Amino acid sequence: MDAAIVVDRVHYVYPGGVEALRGVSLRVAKGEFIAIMGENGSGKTTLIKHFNGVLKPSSGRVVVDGVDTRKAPISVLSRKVGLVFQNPDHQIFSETVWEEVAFPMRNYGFPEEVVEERVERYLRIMQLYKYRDRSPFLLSLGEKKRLTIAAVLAYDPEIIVLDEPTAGQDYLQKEQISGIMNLLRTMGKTVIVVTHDVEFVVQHVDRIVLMSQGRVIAEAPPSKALTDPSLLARARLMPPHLARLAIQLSRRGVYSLSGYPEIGDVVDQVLKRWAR
Amino acid sequence: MTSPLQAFKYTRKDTFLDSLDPRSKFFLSISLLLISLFTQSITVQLAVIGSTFLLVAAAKRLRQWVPTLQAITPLVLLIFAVNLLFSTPPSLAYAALMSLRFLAVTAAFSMFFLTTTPDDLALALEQSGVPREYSLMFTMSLRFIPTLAEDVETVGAALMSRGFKLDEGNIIKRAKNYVYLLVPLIVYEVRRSLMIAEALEARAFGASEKPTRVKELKMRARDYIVLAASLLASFSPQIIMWLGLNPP
Repeated sequence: MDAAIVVDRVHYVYPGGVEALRGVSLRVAKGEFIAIMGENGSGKTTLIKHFNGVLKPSSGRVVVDGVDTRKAPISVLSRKVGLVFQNPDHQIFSETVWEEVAFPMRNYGFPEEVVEERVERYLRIMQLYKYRDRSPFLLSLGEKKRLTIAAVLAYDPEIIVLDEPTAGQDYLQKEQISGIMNLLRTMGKTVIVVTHDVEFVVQHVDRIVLMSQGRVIAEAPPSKALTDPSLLARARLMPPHLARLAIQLSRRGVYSLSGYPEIGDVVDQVLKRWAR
Repeated sequence: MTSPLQAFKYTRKDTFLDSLDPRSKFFLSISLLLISLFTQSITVQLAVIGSTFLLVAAAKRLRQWVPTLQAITPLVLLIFAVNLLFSTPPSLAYAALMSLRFLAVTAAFSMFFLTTTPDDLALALEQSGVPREYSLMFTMSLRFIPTLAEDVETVGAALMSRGFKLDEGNIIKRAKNYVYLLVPLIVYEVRRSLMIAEALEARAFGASEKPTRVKELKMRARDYIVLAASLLASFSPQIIMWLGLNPP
C-alpha cells in the first residue's frame, strides 16, 4: 500500500534546547487509522506537528504524500494534512461559527457555493448548525472542540490528524465523534489521533503507536498493545477495564486470552467454567 | 519572536551583580539612563554602552545580552533614519546620538532584568511602598512574556494549518495578517488572566492589608558603594565642568 506519511529517523530539538523527538521512524499507509499514545511529554504533539510542517525536523525527514515537509510551506502541506489542535482557544478567531468553518475553504479558494454547502453539512453533522450566527467564543469547550473538527473536515484533506479529540466531551458527544470517525473510515481517509482514551482506540484504530521519552517504543494492533501490561506500563497507560479483567481471568486459568477480549466471549467462557 | 524577549529573562548565576540589592541595581541602571538622557555627546553614549558591556561581562550574561542588542538593531536603524530625515537641518550627528541613546538605555535595563529575579523585583517594589497588587501585576506581566511568545507561535501555527498565508505578501499585507492573530490571542490572554485572578483569590490573596514576607531585602555595604558610585557617575559631567575641565 502507498504511504501517506513516512517519518524517517526524525530528531527534534525545541529552541530552548529540549530534545522532544529522539529518532522517530514511522510509516502510515493511505487509508490507515492509527492512534499515537503515551504519557504527557512523550513527544506525541511534537510528532504530529511535523505532519503538516508546523515543525520541521532538526534532523531526519518527514515525507507527506511524496512531499518532503522541509521543502513545502505549511499552507501547502495543510491542504493534504488537516490538523486539529488540542486547545480550541488557540485556533478560533472568527466572528461567527459559520465563518470559522468557511475560513480554510476561502484560503484554499473554494467556490462560494461549495463553501456554503460544506459549512452547512459539517455544522449539521457536528450539531452546531443552530449556533451558526453566534460568536464561537461563547460556545462551551466541547462545542468549540467539535467546531474545530468541523473546520478541518469541511475542506476535505486526505489525512486528518486529531490531537485529543475526545477530551472534554461527555459520553453522548464522544459517541458523535465516534460516528464521525466511522464516516472518515468509509470515506477512505487516513486518520491519526493522539489520545489517552483507550476505549476510543479499541473501537476505531488499526494500529497503536506507543511513545515514551521522544521515541516510538512499540507499534501493534490494539488487540496486542492493550493486552500487554508490561508494554502499557512503559508507556504509562492503563489497559481498558475489560482487558484488565480478561488478563486477570486468564492468569487464573478461567479465560483464554487471544486478541482483544469481547465482553460476550468473556462471560460465555466464565459461565462455561462455572457450569463444570 | 522569542529572541528579543529573552533579553529580559532572568537566569540564576552567582556574580557580584546578582548579589546586589535590586534597589541599588535599579539605581545603577537609572543613573546610566540619566547620563544617557542628559548628554548631547556621542562619546558619552558610547561610554555608557561600553561600561554597561563591562558590567554585563562581569555578570557573565553576555550570551543573553548581545542577542538583545542584535534584535533591536532594526529599531535602532529606524530611529537613526527617522531622525536623519526629520531633523532640521538634517544632522548625521543628531541621528547617531538618538539611536545610540536608545541602544544605551535598552542595554542598561536589559542588564537590570537579566540579573534580577522577578521575586526580588517584587520585594523591592513592595519595600519601596508600592502596594502588593501593583507589584504583583508588574512581576506577573514579566513572568508571562515567554508564555505569551509561546501562544503567539501556537496561534500562528493553527492559522497556517488552515491554509492561511501568515508570512506571505508585502509588509503591509503581513502586518494586516497579524490582526487575525490578535483576536484569539487577546481572548485567550483575557481568559487566562481571569483564571489567574480566581486562583489568586482561591488562595486568599488580599485577605490581609499588608502581608508579611519571609525574605526581607537588606542593603549591605556593597550596595551603598554602588549607590555612591552611581550617584557620582550621574553627576560626572557637572563634576568635570566644576573642575574646570571641558566635558567630552
